[in-house]
Amino acid sequence: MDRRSFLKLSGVAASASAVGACSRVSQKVIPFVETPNDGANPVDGDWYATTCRECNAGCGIIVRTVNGRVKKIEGNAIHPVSRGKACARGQAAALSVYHPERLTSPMLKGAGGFEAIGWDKAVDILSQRFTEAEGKLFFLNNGSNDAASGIANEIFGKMDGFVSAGNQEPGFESLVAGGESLADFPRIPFPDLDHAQFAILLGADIFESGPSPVFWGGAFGECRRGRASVRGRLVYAGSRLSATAAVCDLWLPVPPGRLGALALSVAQVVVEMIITRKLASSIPRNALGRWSVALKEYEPEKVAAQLELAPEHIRKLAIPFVDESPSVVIAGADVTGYANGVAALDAVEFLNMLSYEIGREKLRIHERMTPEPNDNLKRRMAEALGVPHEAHGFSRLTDLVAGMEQGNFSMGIIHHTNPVFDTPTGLKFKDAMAKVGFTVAIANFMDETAAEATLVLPDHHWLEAWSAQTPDFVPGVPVFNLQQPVIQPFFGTKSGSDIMLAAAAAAKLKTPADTTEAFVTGKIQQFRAEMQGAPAYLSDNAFRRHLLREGGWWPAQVEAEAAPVPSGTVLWEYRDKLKAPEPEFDGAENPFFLHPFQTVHMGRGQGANSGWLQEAPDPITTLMWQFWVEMNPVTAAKLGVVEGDMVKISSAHGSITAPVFPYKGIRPDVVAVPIGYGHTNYGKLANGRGGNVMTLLGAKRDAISGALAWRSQKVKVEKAEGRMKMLRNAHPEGEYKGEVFQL
Amino acid sequence: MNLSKLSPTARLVILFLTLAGMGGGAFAGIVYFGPIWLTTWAPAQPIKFSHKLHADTNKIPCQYCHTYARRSEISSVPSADRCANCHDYIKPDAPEIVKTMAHYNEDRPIEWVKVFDLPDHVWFNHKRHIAKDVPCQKCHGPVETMDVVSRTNEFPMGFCLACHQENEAPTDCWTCHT
Repeated sequence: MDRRSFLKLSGVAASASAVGACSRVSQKVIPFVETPNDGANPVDGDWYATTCRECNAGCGIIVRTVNGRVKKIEGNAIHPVSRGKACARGQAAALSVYHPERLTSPMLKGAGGFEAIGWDKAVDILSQRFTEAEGKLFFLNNGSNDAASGIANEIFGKMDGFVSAGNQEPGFESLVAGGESLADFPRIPFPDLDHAQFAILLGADIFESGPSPVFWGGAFGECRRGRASVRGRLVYAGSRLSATAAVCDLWLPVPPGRLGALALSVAQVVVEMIITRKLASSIPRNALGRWSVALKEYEPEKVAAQLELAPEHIRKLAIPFVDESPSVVIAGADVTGYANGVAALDAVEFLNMLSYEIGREKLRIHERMTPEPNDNLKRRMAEALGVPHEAHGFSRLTDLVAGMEQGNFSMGIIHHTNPVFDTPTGLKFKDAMAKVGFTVAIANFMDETAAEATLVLPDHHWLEAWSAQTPDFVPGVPVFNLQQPVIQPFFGTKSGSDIMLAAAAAAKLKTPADTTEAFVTGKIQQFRAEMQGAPAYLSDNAFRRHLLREGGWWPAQVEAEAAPVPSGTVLWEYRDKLKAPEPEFDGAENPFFLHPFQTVHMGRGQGANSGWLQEAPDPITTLMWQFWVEMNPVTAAKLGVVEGDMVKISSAHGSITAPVFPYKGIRPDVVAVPIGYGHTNYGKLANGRGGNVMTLLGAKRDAISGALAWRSQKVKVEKAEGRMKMLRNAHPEGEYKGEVFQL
Repeated sequence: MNLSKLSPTARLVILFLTLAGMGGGAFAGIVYFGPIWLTTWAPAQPIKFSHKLHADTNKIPCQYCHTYARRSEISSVPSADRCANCHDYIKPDAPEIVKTMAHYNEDRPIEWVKVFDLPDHVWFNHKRHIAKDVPCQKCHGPVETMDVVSRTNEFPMGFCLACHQENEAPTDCWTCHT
């Protein structure tokens, strides 16, 4: 470099840095129109009610903002789902707003990868594609009924070829199918744990996965300590001592896929007790006689061997089930995870109905189990904001993938879901996606699915955006959740649903509203007449503000009157369904049952890019920032491995390596691997941290519901090269066995 | 010193050091004085509100409108009803006041553009400074002389520290970077 060019360059660099220092983003200050009577308190900040969207449970939350920044998230005390509580993932959402890896500009995939384009161009491209697609498109979200799915369905729903689907949490579909046994509409059974004295949890990891961890956490608190003289007792049966099982009074390590047989065996003893003690006069005697005959083959002595329990263990469940009535049975992932899941759920429903019949004189219980009087409104609200339940599941997703492979779609919209990462390899979602001409990902972060899309639209964080949502997982009552922006958008994002509306309008399609906010307001008006308990004298605008203050609408009296109990003919229908089919497994020749499980921190993998969630110790192992495989110390000894040794877990579909964590709370024939690790394209905190257990799974499905049977895979485990230091927060067996850090 | 007697390498080193010194000086200058050069930023506001007319000509105290300054960490921009308190009667037909009242009557907040701002890692509390009788103008400049408010200060850390040292206010990191 000669002197002249050196000087030139120095000059350019100096002026560039000076110009850089001048750039500023103009922020707005938006004061109240009227000072509130109670005086807004700028020191403590303002609390806004909205709805948490980290999972589909639909918890009402309140968010503290100070000077236009989100500071703290808590549960909304008057909300029927959250009851004033929020889980770790909900609270960590405050961090994800400011995440440095958030997408800030629309990106179009060209020959050299993604390149940033402006919003105007993105809308142009989208509207042109809408016109060309002529309805041959799909809308895939995470299974939530929200404003975005409502808008997509209202724009495209009437076109031939349009498919709406939800990539729902595994197990949901089976729970719905199991719930249908009692009613002729899709619903999720919600046993009333709040008022139970004795509860049997059949593989129900209700505090860490499944429909609604926060709701169940509240129910557990009520059951244990909500009543002055009663301490509810809980028994957990399943192949691994999960975080939920750890707070129960007893754990029965039943082999994988056998919980249906356990339920029927308990039912057999209960039915005999009802007959001999002349309990439950509401049950027709001839029904009892038929059940007694049908359940003969499930006597504790006959099934004890396959359950690997002693007959008295089964009686230890059945006798308190009657004596400590009211009792409930809750089924969870260790039931729905196998191909015989729905059959087992029938047995669970049957037991719960027996429990109601026994306990009805003592306590009003299980009213939430029965068809709710409000269910019609609940369903109509859900449909106004999206798609019916049956679209939220693995069956619909499988059909969608088949359609994609056959070239049925010229376009697809993927809204806040990551199926390339969190569906099993056996589904081949990624390959199918490549066959769709144009895919749009509406997302907050780059992830494995967005990376495969043609156009990526950075959405507002849900704390910055308008929406509405109806939770599926709330007992009995219809709930209309509102989601409002609590801060101004932090980056240059736009609301994904607003962009869909703008592009559809430009493509001359009929749109339900101009903006998402207007769409939500329209839905409030649509249902206002039925929103009982809310002040009727308010003007439309004041009513909307009332709902925004509360966080949405739900009936004021959650503990509704007991609805009619199914009896007579409904009870009779059960005589044919009392069967516990043998579980079937993929890779049955392999020695170990694979037990993928969700943690409350990672969810299905969405939590992996959050420092707060990675840092939060796992409730069982107390591991942080780390992936692991749990196996019984006996198994570990047989394989010749100790804590931290790497093992290779493989199936016909793929293999992962993981450090061993010996854990006494797991059956020796089971290896457990957490879901949500092993990202390849989800930011620096998530990438390369462990392996993705979904790559080991085929697409085995439940025989009745078609739901993903995500635990019916057997695997090989062998010692691999290397070791890893396990970053434990404490010893899982308690403080005194832990290692003490010496300073 | 006769430069021609030095070897070419030494001459290059001296040249380099001189340039580096000049560059460093220029950089320090930009960092230190830059804020003073940037004082002309006066963004257009949705309402042409004149501080000069209100605070100077009509002698309305700052805290009549910025009510939270003495009570909280922020000074607050007044809500539209505070404008309406007077302008229901005073010059209700002036075009800017018609605009303001339209916001009030239609329940639409006015979206002001923020002129003074601190980064998120700085915690500033108006209340404490008012309690110590620090005049608003000390930081915000002569706002009462401005028709359109302009940013008179970028608040580099030295600005805060100079005043804190002068008045024996705390200067440890945690005072502001909490």
